[in-house]
Parts: sequence; C-alpha cells; structure tokens
Amino acid sequence: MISLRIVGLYLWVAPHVLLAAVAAVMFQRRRHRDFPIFFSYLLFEILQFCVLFAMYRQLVPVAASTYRTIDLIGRAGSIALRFGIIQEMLEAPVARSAPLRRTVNRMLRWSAAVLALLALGFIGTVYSWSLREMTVPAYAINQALNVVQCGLLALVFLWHRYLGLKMQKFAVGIALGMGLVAGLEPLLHALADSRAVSPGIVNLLPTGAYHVAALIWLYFASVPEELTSDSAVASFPEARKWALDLGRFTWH
Amino acid sequence: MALIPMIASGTAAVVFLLFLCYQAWRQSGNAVGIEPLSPVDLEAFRNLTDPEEVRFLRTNLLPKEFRKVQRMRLRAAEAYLSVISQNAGRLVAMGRSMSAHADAETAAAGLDVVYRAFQLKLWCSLSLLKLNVTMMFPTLLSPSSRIADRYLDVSSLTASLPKKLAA
Repeated sequence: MISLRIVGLYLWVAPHVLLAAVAAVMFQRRRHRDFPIFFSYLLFEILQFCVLFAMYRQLVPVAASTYRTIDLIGRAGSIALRFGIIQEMLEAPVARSAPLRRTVNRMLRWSAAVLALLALGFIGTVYSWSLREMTVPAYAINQALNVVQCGLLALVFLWHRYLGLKMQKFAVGIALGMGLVAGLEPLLHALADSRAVSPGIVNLLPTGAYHVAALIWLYFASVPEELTSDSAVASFPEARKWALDLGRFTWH
Repeated sequence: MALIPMIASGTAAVVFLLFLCYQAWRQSGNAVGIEPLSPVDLEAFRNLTDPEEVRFLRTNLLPKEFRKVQRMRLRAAEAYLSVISQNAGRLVAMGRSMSAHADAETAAAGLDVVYRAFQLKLWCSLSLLKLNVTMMFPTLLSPSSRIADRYLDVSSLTASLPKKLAA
C-alpha cells in the first residue's frame, strides 16, 4: 500500500510539473499576451515550489523559521497574484479602453471590500459558537480571503453574462480551476472539523484539488479557441449586416 | 455547536462549486453570433419619461387615478429600458468586434461604441433600479428622462457607423 507520505510528495510535486506544462503551452500558443498575470502566477508558483522543495530536501540548508517565512511570503504573493488574475478576467471585455478599465477596477475594489465585510461577518457568525477556532487570526484571514476570491470569481461569470459576452474558453478554465481551489477550502475545513475523515487524508485534499485545477488549466490551455462574437469583424458582408441592424436601433 | 459552522461552510462550498460548474457549462456552449438589435420607439419612451407629462397628469388626475396611470406608464417605460439595455449589451459585443478590425478608423469607432454602450448599459441598470423604487412611490418620485438623452447620444454615434462600414 502506498503510504500517505509518498502520496503527499506526489501531490506536492506533480501539480507544479503540470503548471510548467501549462506555462509552456501558453507560451507556445502566445496566450501569455492575453493573460500576462496568470502567466506570471504560473512562473511564481513554479519558482516558489523550486525554492521550497530545495529547502525541504536540504539541498539548501536553512533553519525551519526561514522556511516558514519564505513559505508565508510565497503564500501572500500567490494570493495577491490570484486577485490580479481575477482583475485580468474582469477587465478582459473592456481591455482596449482605459476609462472603462478604470471603471471596472473601481467596481472590483468596491466588490472586494463588500465581500470582505460579508466574509468576515459570515466567519464571525459561524465560528462564534466555537471561539477556539478564531484564536489563530491567520486561519480567519485565509478563510475570509477565500470567500472574497469565490465571490469575485462568481462576479467574473455574472459580469460577462450581464454584458452578454462569451468568455474565452481558457478564461473559463482559469476561473474553474481557481474556483475549485478556493471553493473547496471551506468544505475541507468542514471535513477536518467533523473528524469523519482521517486528518492525514484531509491534509492531502487541498493539494489534490490543486492537482485537479492544474489539469483543468492544462486542458483549457490546449483547447483551441473558437471564433466567437468577440473576434474581429470576419467579413465585409457581416459588417454590412451589422450596419443595417444598427440603423434599427434608432427606429421611430 | 461545532456542527453549525461545519454545515454552513460545507453547504456554502457545495453551492459555490455547483454555481461555478453551471456557469462554466453555460459559457462553454457553442458560440453564437451577435443577435440583431431590437427596435425601440424612442418618441414613446421619451414621452413616458417626460417630467412635463408627469406634471400634467398629476395636476389633471385624482391622486388615486394618477398613481394607477403612472404605474402603468412606469411599467411600459421599464419594458423599453429592458430592450435598450439588451441593445446596449449587443452594441458592446459589436463594438468589441469592430475594435479588433484591421482598419484603424473602424477600430477606433468600435472602441467608442464599446465605451458609450457600456455606459448606457450601466445607466440602464441604475434607471431600472430607480424605476422600481418610483413604482412603489409614484407620487414622490419621477422617472429620469436623462436616459433618453444618453440613448440619443449612443444612437447618433451608431447611426454614423453604417456609413463608415459601408465606405
């Protein structure tokens, strides 16, 4: 029987190998130009893994406190980049217009602030029964940021639906993968709290979810984008048809 | 008591993941072209949101009658606004397509359409919200007539596009 330690090691290494593959596919298909922040996130995650793995395997001997500090900085960087990716996806429909990008950014900031308040309220309410859970602020902050991220990812889909625009397939994949990682966190905490599943297995689940997310990203990065309504005017007859339609807009 | 946070967190996570899968499924459907714009009777819409008309009705009708008539007018205005909002969304999509056109002038015009149509879309959402509040208090509030001006603003721009595209 494969020990949990080997599974844990696999689930730590494999997603990062997959991330390297995603980055390679993105670069090959020139998609790093459309999603520069997501591409930076991939590179950051791979670099962070290399540094932490080297420390863990004692290839670079460091104190445990240094390892923890670097791990913490890495996690903070990942969170910041994930918010950047959400901003990138929200801005995508209006990417060519600077004033609209500013409007979207304002909307994002307000939404994030409201969601953060709601998240803190939600966490405060549900954990008021067991104050012990709130003794570690990092736990509450992590939960709150996950809730905010989930809310903003939902906003990305609703935003495109509101504007009646179709998202690029790869953008759908990015949102799906990120949502899986952020959305599963509360469920995993609930599982850990229930003690119905062994803690060893529960600890593996976040990395397992990240592995699935990396597979989703790899799949969507490889899928060719179809020509959507957002692409350039395909032909002159089509443009003429639109022009006629536009005339109907002011029909009296 | 630890059961409550557990159930709340678990339920929220499951609901979110289901929502995400549903949205991803919707988005991954086959791409359809931009739907044609729906015609809007601008004169009728302007009439429905004209403050002078509201004032006239207020002075010539009994309060009960005025409330009834005004609510009917507001419902009609809401229907017009919904169509304008839909059209604005389609214009955003059209503008985006045109902004990627090889011809620089068409691309710039497309970008302008995106900008104004986007503003119109937001304006429509706010106006719909205000209209719903006005529906509750028809004697205290009046619908904004500025939406018609915005509508004219975008329509005059879009009216110039056929010439550019046909040129």
